[in-house]
Amino acid sequence: MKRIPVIVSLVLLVIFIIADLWFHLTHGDGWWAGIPGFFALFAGLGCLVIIAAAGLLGRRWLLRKEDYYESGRDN
Amino acid sequence: MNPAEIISTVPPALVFLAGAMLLPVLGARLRPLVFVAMPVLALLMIANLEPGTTAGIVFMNLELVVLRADSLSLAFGYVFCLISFFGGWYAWHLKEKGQQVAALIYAGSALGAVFAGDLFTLFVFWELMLVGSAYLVWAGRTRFSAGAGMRYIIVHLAGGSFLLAGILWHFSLTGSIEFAHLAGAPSWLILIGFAVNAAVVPLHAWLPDAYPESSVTGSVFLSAFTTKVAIYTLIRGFEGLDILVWVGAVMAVYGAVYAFMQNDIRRVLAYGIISQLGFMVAAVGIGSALAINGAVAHAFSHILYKGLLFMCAGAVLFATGRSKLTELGGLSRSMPLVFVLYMIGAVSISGFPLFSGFVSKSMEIYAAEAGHYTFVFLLLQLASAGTFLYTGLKLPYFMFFGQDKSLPVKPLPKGMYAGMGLAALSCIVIGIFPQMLYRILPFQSNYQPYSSAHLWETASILLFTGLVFWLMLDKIKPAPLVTLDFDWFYRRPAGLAYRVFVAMPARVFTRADNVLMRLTGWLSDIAANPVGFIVWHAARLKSRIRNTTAPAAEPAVFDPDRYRGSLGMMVTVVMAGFIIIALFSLVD
Repeated sequence: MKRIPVIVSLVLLVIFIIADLWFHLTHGDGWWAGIPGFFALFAGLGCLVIIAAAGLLGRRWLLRKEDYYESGRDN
Repeated sequence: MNPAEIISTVPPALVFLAGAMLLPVLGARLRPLVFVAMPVLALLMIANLEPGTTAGIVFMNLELVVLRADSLSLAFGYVFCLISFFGGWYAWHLKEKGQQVAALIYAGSALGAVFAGDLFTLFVFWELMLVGSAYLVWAGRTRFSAGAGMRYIIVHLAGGSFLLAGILWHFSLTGSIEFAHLAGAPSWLILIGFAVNAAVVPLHAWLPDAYPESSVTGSVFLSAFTTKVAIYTLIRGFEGLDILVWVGAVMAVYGAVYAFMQNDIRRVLAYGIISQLGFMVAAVGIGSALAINGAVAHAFSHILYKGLLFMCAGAVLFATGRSKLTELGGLSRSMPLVFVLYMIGAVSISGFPLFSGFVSKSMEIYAAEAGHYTFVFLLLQLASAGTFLYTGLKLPYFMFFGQDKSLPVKPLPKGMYAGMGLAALSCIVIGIFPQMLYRILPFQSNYQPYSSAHLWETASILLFTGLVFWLMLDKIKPAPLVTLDFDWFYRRPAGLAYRVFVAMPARVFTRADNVLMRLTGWLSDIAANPVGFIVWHAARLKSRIRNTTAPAAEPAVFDPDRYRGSLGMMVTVVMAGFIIIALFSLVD
């Protein structure tokens, strides 16, 4: 993992949390309304989960060669 | 009745179907013109329809409602005409009659289905859609098109059978064929039929199987009609059915994760359709006014931006002859305009402010929040982030940037640019003037998309999705592989089914055939030369018993000199005959 994106992401996350604390921008009926910067954290972690899930599921189970369905045929 | 009133009782579908009949007799230069004229004509007719208009015919003692115009069917009618118009421009260069006719039949029957007021009319147009769309899949003529099209037909015929069974059962129980809110036991069969076309997981595998194998222009039409007609029918028949909320939320995330694994660009977009349909299905299940408005608005804008994305992916395929991320790269320099147009579609689907996804998708997400479906709300937000990740970042990165493969690029026809430009324009217009869209929704709405909370939330989600993509870029690599999905259950056993139902009967028939042929051979030998046959086989038997060498050759051909009886014997027989006759005459 490169260093610059990590630093940029963390700095932006802190900025978003502070901005949210200051202006109270996150609204809603759910429990997340009280967490500053909730959607930034949620999206970041959520995308990591999607990438990890797609990678793991793909490598371990779901990804096959392009002629997978043809290789089983007699003709 | 004045002419305007008469026109207002004609189903708009007939315009398309008449056009489809007219096209084959027209010259190649006139056909695209007539093709784009049909949606304009139908759009004028639909705009002329007052909500509440119905028109029916009596057929076999059934009162069929072939035209029912209300705010719900009109909204779908408008957008179907729009995408047919854009698609017509995009396919202007097409010289192939078959595809043009099929696309018009497909669009016309989709219109017919949303304006159908009874279940039988709906079913007829439902199956007619299959005819047009299956042709478009086969028109792709890739190595996989034939099989994918056949599977597409089989799955949809199965779904259609459930639908018809449900309709007949419903009719026999209630005596009514009106298409309104459905409940009771038969409605579950009808729901299965609708769910197949709405690509509800796990009945969805036909979609990413067939759409990527269709023709460049065909996929634009495919992405628009079948699934959105199903969303319409779900709204009409199953609004507020709780199970759909959860099914939809799962679909939204499932589609996003699968889209992220794909290598074929049109397959990424196809799984994107499933993810987006998940939002709509969930909204149908929530069933509040805001949710239904959201489902219709999202279907409306989805048809336009997904059409645009398929057009751009098709343009890349048309220009380079390739559709795999592993084979593409660096196209932003050779196809800058397509890149810009693609990004307009991508930011629309991702819900960037000022684009159409922002003003439509958010209604569904807030309907989930307002309905206290907390977990569903979070799943939909996650799917939103995922949508930006695969359509807005991964796909364009590996298609237009990434490793420059310096692919030779064929120039695109001008009509393609016109179609893409019009579709892109529609995405921006809806994003900037959402009231134009909100006015045609089924329920009165005072929904305000451009609130500070919504803007903040969207900015947070999109920015941090982008940051994660940047962080993980060296971990994300497309590979020349395909994914297993629920179609495994009917594709993998296909080899076994082939052996059991085709190869084995064929072998049995061959065996039986051989036995019969040998028997026939013996019979013909006996008939041709009975004495020789018996003599030769007797000799062979004798030689076998005595263990001596077999007789030299089989007397296959009858030789009259060899087996002719002696003359004396013949004379004796004849004389005996005469004597018997003489004796009988004496007895008389």
